[in-house]
Amino acid sequence: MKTKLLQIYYDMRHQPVIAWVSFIATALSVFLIMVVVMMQQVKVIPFAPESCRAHLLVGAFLHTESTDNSNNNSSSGMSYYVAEKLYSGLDGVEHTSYFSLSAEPSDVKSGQNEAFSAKSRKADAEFFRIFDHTLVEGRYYTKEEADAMMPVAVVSESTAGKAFGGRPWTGRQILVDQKPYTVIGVVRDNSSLATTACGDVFLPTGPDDKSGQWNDYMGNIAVALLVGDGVDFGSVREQVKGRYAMFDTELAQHNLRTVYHESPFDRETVAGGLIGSNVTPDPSAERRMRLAVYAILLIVPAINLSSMLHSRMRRRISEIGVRRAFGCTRRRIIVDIVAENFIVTLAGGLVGVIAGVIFAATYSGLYENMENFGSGDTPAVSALLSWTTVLIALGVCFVLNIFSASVPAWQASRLNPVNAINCK
Amino acid sequence: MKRHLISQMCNEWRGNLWMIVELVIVSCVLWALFSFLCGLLHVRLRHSGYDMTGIYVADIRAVGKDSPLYQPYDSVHSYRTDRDMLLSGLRGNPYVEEAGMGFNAMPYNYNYMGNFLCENDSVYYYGNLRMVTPEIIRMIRLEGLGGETTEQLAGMIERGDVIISGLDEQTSSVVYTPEYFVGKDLRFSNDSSRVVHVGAVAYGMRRTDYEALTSGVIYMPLSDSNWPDQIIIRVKPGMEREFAESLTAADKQHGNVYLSGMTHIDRMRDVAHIDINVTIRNFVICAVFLLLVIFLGFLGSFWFRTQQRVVEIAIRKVNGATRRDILRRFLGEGMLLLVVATVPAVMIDYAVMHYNLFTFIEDLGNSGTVVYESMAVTFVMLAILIVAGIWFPACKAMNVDPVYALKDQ
Amino acid sequence: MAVITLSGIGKVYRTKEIETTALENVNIEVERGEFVSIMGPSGCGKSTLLNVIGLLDRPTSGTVSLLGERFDNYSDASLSHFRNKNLGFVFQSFHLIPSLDVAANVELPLLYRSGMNSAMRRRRVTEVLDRLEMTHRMKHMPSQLSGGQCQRVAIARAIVGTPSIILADEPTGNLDSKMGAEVMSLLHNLNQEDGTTIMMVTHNESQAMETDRIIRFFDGRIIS
Repeated sequence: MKTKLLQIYYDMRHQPVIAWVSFIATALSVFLIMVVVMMQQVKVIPFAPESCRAHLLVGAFLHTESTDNSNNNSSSGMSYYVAEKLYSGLDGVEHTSYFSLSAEPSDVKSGQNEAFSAKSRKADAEFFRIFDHTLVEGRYYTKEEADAMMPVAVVSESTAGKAFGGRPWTGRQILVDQKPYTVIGVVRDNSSLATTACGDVFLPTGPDDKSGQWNDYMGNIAVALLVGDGVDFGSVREQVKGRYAMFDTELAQHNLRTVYHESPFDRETVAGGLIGSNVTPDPSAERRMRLAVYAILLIVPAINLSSMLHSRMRRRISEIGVRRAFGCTRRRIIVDIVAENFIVTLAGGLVGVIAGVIFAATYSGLYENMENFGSGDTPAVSALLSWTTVLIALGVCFVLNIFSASVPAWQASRLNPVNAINCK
Repeated sequence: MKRHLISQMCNEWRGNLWMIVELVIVSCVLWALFSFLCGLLHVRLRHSGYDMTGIYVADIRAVGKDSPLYQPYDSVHSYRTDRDMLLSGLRGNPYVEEAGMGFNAMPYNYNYMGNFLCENDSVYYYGNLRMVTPEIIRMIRLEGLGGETTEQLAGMIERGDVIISGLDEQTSSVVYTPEYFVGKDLRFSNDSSRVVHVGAVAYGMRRTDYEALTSGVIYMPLSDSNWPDQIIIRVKPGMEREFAESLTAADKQHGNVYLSGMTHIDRMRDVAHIDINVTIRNFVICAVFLLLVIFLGFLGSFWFRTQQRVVEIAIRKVNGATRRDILRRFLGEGMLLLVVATVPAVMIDYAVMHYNLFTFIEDLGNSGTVVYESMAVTFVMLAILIVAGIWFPACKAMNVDPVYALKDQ
Repeated sequence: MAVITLSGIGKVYRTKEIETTALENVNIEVERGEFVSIMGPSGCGKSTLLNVIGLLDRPTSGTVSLLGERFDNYSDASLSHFRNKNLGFVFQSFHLIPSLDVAANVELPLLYRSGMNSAMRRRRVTEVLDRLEMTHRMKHMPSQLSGGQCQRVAIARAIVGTPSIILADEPTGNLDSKMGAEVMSLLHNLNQEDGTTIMMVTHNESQAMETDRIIRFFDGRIIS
């Protein structure tokens, strides 16, 4: 092993340009792939307050169309009433929460302080059982308080700090969009990358909440479903489909029927973007695009690396001949060249991964979307450096290596030893 | 000379084949990327027909009766009087050119208030409903498609006429052109009692700068019965900072009505464009990466070739080749590779277009020249990077000392 | 007993248009412990013969048998294993691997042998280098050595796997006469002390005279 490393070192010193070009191309390719991977990872890997992502389904939107020819086609979020009708008490679901799908900017104010903007989200009491926010002071509101829409609020640490200054924060009054609430709980600040659960201010919502409701059916309510271990998402979706059919019988009196868009959605679908309330989201299109990106980022540098390796091998033809003379088999030649190249690829890959992680952990622009624009939130390094990341990085290096080394290695192994030895 | 170049390259066919394959792939990918980017550029550069500089937008909100801050009204005052006081206060601000109210009147939000005008049961004009006051028409300098001035259009809104927009594309569902409706009295929505008069066809306000108007925009006068959702302000040229600093809490609240989230339109534009901007950024990075890989590839390969060919170069020099000849030969080799690679690449490009393999290219298909422009851009970019990659090794080759090189052998 | 038996060996190189006969009906028997030199003008097929004996090249006709084994049905891998165990090569231009140090160059044949761990290999390499008085050069790169030293290392590499046969292709061709004599005495040493069979191609008449037998070649045929 040590001998091999030394030999690689001497070979590279002998051909610095080709060595550096190979190294940079490898590092760059691995870097970009890792950034793309991590951008996607952040959307789907679990982290607080969305540690439940693997078990989470989000039911959102209602789309109705007319059964007569009145052209009445509308789509939006749901009213609390519809949300309950479609999603309450499903088999295999452990917790069901009703909440607003996006955190909206609100004016927050306390006493004589200047109002400031904070993201507020309506949520019932179950919300805090599905999403693992961390309480630093006080408590969450109860189901009774939420159902009765008591004027109580759970706010984030920084919001409380901005509004009141020092502790204690609970028991004090804030105005959210000019409505008074008593702070009963304070949670740790959360990352806007947790698009479903994040927020600075959480306000109770219940069955009688008319504030975000455009009509009986449409509103701004969505549903979070925490699915039990081993329960198939498909079975939950089947039940919801049944509920839609039942709901259609109620809508018939208005000459309306529902259009089903495969709700509730898993995390990958939500992360891919819920484009609109009247479209069936298609995460596979995005997945295909991602695969194409990986393929291009791998194949193009691999061709390059392959021709570099081919050049390097041409300088070592007589070495290969000598090795063959002393009893090295063809297979061994291939294995050795591929292994040697793998070491170089790994070294480049390591630099690429480290650069990728640093970049992904510091550059918030990677994760920007309309909801978290300008928040500057980046994921924690610990979230980025999961074992899956390491595994993917290794896999990428391996594939890159196989792509680039197999052809030159095969060619080298087919060399006639007699000609090879005599080749200068 | 040319024939020699080609036959020598044939002798190194294996190395060259690799580079050609690489160039073909990269050329196709770059073409797709550039098609997308050029397409966006075309959309971005078209004449929008309205002007959003110096615009601020704020949401109009009201304190509910359930709030302890609610101030009860007497018979003279109401939410409406509070709102009007707020508006006139802003108009009095020395840095403000004009202020007005609207409902869904501004771009850079994704609301689509779909509605329609109809002449009878089969002749429709569909569009995104934007409710405006004459001040807004003036603020955004809206232009008519038939040459109507902003003042004329504002006058129409003042009179109570509606203005409709032109369309970017004639989809199959559009039977009648917008111009057909001008001067006609049409039914608004399903409400048979509401009849509106179409005053003119103007440029349509898009939800984002990249949106194509496949259905229209209906500019409708904001009536007293409609509660506006936004106050829109245009500040005097270059006075943005002064205006922002001059705003006090009193400017933002009057009685029970207050303004929330006073935002410069540029910021709203940034937010609305974030997804597309991220896509553009990713595509640009991808393009840069591929070009860099090509650069590195040519640098490495030609570095190796010069090493292999030191003697050959020396012999050429001995036989009278100048430094320029050597450089030209190396660059010629690179360009020949690019030309050879471009042939299959262009064929693949055509196949991609023909079979609509990428939907975004299909979308751009209508704008015609984009795909050809991007083929040209791809070729030029690759040529530049290839020359850059070859330059360094070629310079090394130029400086080969024949005496030394031949003695070495 | 004969360690090398060549019977009716012919080798013809075919290209598109020309056929070149490199060897024609060559019959040789070499006994265990013999030191044989092969002489002849350039291009007479000496090196081809050595390559055929070294199992690097297959003859067009005839059979090669080494140590009683025939190789007609041997796969490339079995040939490699046989070479590794039983044959050692010394080349005119040394063919040391420039990117490996002396110890690693000598170790090379042992790498392709199963059942030797790195400590055993190291011990064996030191042993061989010690015998050739090159221990102090173990960590040097080939580019830091003189021609004679390079050939010593190459001989060390050839004998490290204790082969029964050493094939040397003009081992002194690139050396001056003093160093050439040194290398020759080394080879004689190996031949006498270990009983290693050596076949050497040479142009040097006096060196050839020192060996047990001279095979003279002309135009692919043995003339004496």
